[in-house]
Amino acid sequence: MKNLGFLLLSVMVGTFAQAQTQDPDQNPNYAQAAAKYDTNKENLLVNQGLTIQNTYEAFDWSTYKADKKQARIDNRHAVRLARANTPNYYGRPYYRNGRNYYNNYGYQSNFYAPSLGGVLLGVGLDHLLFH
Amino acid sequence: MKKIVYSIAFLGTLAFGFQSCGHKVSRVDVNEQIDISGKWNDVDSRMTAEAMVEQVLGEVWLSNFVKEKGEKPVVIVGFVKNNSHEHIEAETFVKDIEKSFIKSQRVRLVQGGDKREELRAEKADQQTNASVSTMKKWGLEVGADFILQGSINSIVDAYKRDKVVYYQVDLELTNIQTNEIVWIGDKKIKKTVRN
Repeated sequence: MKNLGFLLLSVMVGTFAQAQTQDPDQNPNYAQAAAKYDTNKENLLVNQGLTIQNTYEAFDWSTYKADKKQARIDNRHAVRLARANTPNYYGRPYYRNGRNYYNNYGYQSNFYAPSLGGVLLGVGLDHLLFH
Repeated sequence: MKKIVYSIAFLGTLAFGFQSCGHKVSRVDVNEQIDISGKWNDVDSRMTAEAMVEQVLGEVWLSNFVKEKGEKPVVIVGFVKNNSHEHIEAETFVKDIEKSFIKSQRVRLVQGGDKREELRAEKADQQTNASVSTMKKWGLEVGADFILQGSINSIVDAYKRDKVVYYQVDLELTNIQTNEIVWIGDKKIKKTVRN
């Protein structure tokens, strides 16, 4: 099998070498290089005539400011969401027109069922802060 | 009644006014310099093309080749690597350089890349579909003497709202037989931007 591969390669190189006229100054091992690039030329020429985009990200003040603003908005939203879903976390959940603002169903989510300690702490805080 | 009619007319005029203010398109001269964001734009591309065309056709590599070989050089366009901080398509200015080669009739140009693949596919199709007298033969393409390659680099210096952007576009012609670089052209552009 190995011999067959070598034979095929020799025929290929031989054919290529025949197609070119030998220059007196030409490197005698040129056929090795020719065989190497002949098998890989499609991959090497894939970007010919194109622009290869190898860009980097430079600092931009306006983008930096916009990103910071967006991060602030996202953070505020996450805090409000957490507060709405845990009634005894900071105090009362965020209600609007009698409905929990961050709950899709218009009812307070009971997914995060408060513990007895949590309920007592919530009631105590509620009494202290809102009454 | 009169009051209602006047009100409706007024509101209609107002609505029409707002609508016409929202979207406006006008044609401008392609050579007009319009800078909006400060990023690479058509003006930069045009400036690069003009500088490169002037340099590539005006330097000694061309006369040297003609003197040595007695014929016009054949050029193929390779790739341009964009190492800058912005998305830049080099084709906008490389095409202008190619056009100048053909217009000047001093440099011959051969097709490369995808377009060459399409040409070869067409040639392959002709072998079974075209008449024998019009069928194009394999192995008679013109081999290029030189390859045009390049790079785009940038440096950005920014502090708060102020920014200085520097672009450097380099193009080079290399002899395919010897790997010798016979020409390097560049265009440097520096901009100040205040956001």
